[in-house]
Amino acid sequence: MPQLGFRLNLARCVGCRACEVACKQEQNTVEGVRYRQVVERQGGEFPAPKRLFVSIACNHCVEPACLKACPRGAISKDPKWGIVLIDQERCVGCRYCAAVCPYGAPQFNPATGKTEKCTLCVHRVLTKDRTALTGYKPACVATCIGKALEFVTDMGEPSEPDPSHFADRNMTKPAIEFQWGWDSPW
Amino acid sequence: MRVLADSTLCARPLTPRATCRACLDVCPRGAISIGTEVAVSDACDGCGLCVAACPNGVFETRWGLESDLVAKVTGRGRTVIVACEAAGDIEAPAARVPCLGVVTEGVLVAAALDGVERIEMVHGLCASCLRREGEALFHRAVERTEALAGRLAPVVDMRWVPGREVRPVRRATVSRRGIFSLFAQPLSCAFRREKPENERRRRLLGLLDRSGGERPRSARGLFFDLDVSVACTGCPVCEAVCPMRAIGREEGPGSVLLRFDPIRCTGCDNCRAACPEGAISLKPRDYSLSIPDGMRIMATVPLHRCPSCGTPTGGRRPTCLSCAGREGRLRLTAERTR
Repeated sequence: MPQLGFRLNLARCVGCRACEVACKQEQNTVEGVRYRQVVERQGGEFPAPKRLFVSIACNHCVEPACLKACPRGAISKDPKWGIVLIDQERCVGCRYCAAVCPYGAPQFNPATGKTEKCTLCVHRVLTKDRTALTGYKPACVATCIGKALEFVTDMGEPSEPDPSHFADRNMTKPAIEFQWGWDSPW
Repeated sequence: MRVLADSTLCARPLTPRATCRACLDVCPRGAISIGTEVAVSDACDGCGLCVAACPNGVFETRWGLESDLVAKVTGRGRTVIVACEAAGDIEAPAARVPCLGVVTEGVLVAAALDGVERIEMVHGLCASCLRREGEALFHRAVERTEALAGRLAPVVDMRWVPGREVRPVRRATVSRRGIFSLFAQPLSCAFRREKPENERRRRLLGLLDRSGGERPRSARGLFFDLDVSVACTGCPVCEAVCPMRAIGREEGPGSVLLRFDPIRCTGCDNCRAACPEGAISLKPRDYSLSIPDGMRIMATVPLHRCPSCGTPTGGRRPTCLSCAGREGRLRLTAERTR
């Protein structure tokens, strides 16, 4: 079974936050709810420090902490594609998923009183019956002008290290990998 | 399947942490499965043990198990005889039941109020019976009746008359003609009451009101009180997972009010099991007519502003849960830029 996920090239990302905007627009999220967030990090070591921008949303973990924490069983992991979704009908907005997620992905929506998060644009990337890929990419990936963010349809073990302060992979096995080297995508 | 199930009353679909297994443990044929809905498979032979076991009144037989039994045992004088299917031939039983386990406290209290002084229970060999789980159910019902009806409680005599044995029936081969009768059966066991209500509980409460409140009644496993510790954050989980709607939650300006109705609570344990803070404990209580109707305030959880994001939050944690998540460990988003 393939695990869908993201790949982020840290050399290409310039922190323009177009992905954040595209996500907000696609998902029509209310103010304060940010499924995707770009954080600034320091990379490299003196005398060659680097400024890194890390674009992070839900990593659709293989072993999601949120799924175990949800007292309502509102969070499910798609058995075929590995997308982690919050059932808005069942969610009661207790925010325990937000408390346990190592990546801060679940976002409490004060308007509905429920918790939402990145859906990996499931309405775009999968057909309605969720049996096949449509070929469309998530909004954030489609909009990334630097081609830093990529949509991976078959996630494997990451070959390159994670940026500093990235939560230990063994906790939840996130479906995201990072690349550090520059190569022209064009 | 001859038993119907109303999933809206079941504790298990409401939370993956539910601990209630009452029906699953007594069903002699393993015909019940509970996912997001309660399903009764074709293996069901309609013995009705699940009806008696479920505290929430999820199950009902097509003929209305309890009311049918009440009609059979009342109006027959001071002594009635009830026999199970496995018992041998006896003279004029008031009712033949699949198992004595389906004789609930509701039936026994109704009989007591009708003036029945002695109930003779005739049973077969329980130890080797397919429905042996019913034995414990029956003894529980007798115990509860003694507690609830007090001196009115009928004397229950057990008598063993060896007879037929209830064995698993092998599914009969279906004749060519018979196959159509299978299609004629309803395909689903789901039924929905107009108003989700625990009918067994309602009947029992009606009986208790009729009997008058001479003495405080204690019946193990029927009535409960909830205790909420200071760990409560005022989150909506317990309210959402209570199948009996015995817990109410009101968000005020500076606090969250939790209300509880001991009349509705059946002690299915869902709230205690689901509470993420482990703040709830259930303890059995007596039933007395002094229990007021409706919801009583169980706890008041003061809310304070989360110092990080400003949203109202309750409990002992300084920050709200979203912020606790963001700041707790080495989170990538810990120092998110704005």
